[in-house]
Amino acid sequence: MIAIECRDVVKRFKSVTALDHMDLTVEKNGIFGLLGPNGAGKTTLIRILTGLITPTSGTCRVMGTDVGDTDSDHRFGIGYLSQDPKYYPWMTGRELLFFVGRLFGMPLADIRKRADELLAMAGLSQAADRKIGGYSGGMVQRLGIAQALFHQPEILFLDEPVSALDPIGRKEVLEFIASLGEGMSVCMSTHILADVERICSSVAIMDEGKVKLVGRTEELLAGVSGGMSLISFASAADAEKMGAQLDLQGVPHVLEADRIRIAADLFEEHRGVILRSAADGKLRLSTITRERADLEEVFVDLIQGGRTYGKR
Amino acid sequence: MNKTLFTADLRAHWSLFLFIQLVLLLYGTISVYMFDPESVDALVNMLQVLPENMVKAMGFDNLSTDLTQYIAGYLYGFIMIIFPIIYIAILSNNLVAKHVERGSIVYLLTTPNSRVRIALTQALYLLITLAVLIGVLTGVVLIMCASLFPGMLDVGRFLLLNLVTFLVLAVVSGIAFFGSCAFDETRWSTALGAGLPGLMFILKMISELNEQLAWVRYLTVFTLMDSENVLAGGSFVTTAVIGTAAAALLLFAGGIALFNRRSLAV
Repeated sequence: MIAIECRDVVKRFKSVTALDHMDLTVEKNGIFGLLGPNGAGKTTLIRILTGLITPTSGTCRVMGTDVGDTDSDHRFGIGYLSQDPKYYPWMTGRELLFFVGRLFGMPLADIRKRADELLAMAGLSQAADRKIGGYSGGMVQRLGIAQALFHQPEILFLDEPVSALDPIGRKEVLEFIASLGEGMSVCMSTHILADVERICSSVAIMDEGKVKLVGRTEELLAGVSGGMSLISFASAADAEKMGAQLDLQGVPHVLEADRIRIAADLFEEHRGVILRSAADGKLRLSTITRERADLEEVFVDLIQGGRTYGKR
Repeated sequence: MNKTLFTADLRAHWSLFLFIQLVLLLYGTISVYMFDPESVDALVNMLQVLPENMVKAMGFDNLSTDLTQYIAGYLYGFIMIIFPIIYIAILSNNLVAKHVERGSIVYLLTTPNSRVRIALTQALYLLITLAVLIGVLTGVVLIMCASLFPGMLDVGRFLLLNLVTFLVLAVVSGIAFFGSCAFDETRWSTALGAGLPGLMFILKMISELNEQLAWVRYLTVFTLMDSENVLAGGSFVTTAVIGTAAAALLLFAGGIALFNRRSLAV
């Protein structure tokens, strides 16, 4: 079941190519993270997928419908929250949801019920009758998500939903997004790697208008040949001695009190020398662990063109 | 038209409407209240002390002892142009370009309402409230004249003057609305929506200040609001009504079509 399908999509703004022959396929259900540095083309892609702009060439389908179709009924299936949502500041949170419900032509009884449900889900029941102008950034974003969910869309697009928020607001909004669960499809763009790792079941990494990598988050992390090995000793003196040995061998490492951090692939390469040195020097090794690579490594290496990815 | 959006527009912009309406009513009621054929003579004599061109530029050159001509000269040469221009420039900018610049247009466009329907609603809001501004003033002036100076106002010609005024201001609204639909940034929308009507108003004043520059009146739509010609009736009025209605229609249709087609920076 496909939620998003883009084929050979190009979008040019005068001399700037925002999307450059981009292909992408996203499965239905779950939270999909669209990751990339600023200017990668994430917002442009979301704007195309929500029908706000049209691609220069190529095709995009969302939930089986060509986004080029101007049939407005298609919009019933899409919810969208922009990066920095602006609402009438004189409206209350509840009034905004009623306004959106009426724009969707919903009956008043349904609007009332749905507004109560979503205000509760967004943790805004207490603030429902306060003016939006007095809301915090996190409250506005949560209200924005509630607004985007109001008509029960099949897919929700969130453009950088937490990038402008303080840590508390970020946590609240991410928890709200995560609570949407597997029952619906969510496409969220961000440049904050930790957020994607935290809540996204699958991810695409974009750069220079192209999708560089796409897959399930766990699979991407498992496929990284990087990561660090951490060698712990019984004492800082033992760690220092091992550090000296590694210096002699010319193996780059970082000494951290009673631990030595070394790139996992270098550890594999020098494993024999390291273990032999420990035995010869009677150094008391406690543990050797491998730290899981994080998405930041995948991202930075991919964008900077460092490593090649392969299964370990 | 979308009634929900129209109602939200009403709530968002009622204070601007009320302010302009009150200013127009203030001037309208004062002008009627002040009417006295004898004092108009005195006022005309006093105005003769001032430079003739300046009086013309302010639109006070047509003050007459005839009530209809007096009101036309007092209200429709300056006040009924400048305040509606302010209203139109601010409102048209807020109705589309400001929504696009702020990004708040997004949640309208992601509802099952087409761009045409959204833009049409905004255009109708502008035109309807402009009609109400003029209509309320017209009604109040009619009531005041009927009670203070029964039978002295030529109601037919006065209504015709208001119709032409509305249509000329509809053209100005069309220009401002087109600008609002054409640009993502309010500074450009304002530049066109306020700048061009403002320039046309200045051209009208220049054409009246200097006879050698009288030809510039052909460059401004406000020439069609010449109360003397409108009250005289005839082909001038027919041309003004047809020309302004067609121009306003084209400008609004063009703005809506442009808004429907172009990529928005949201």
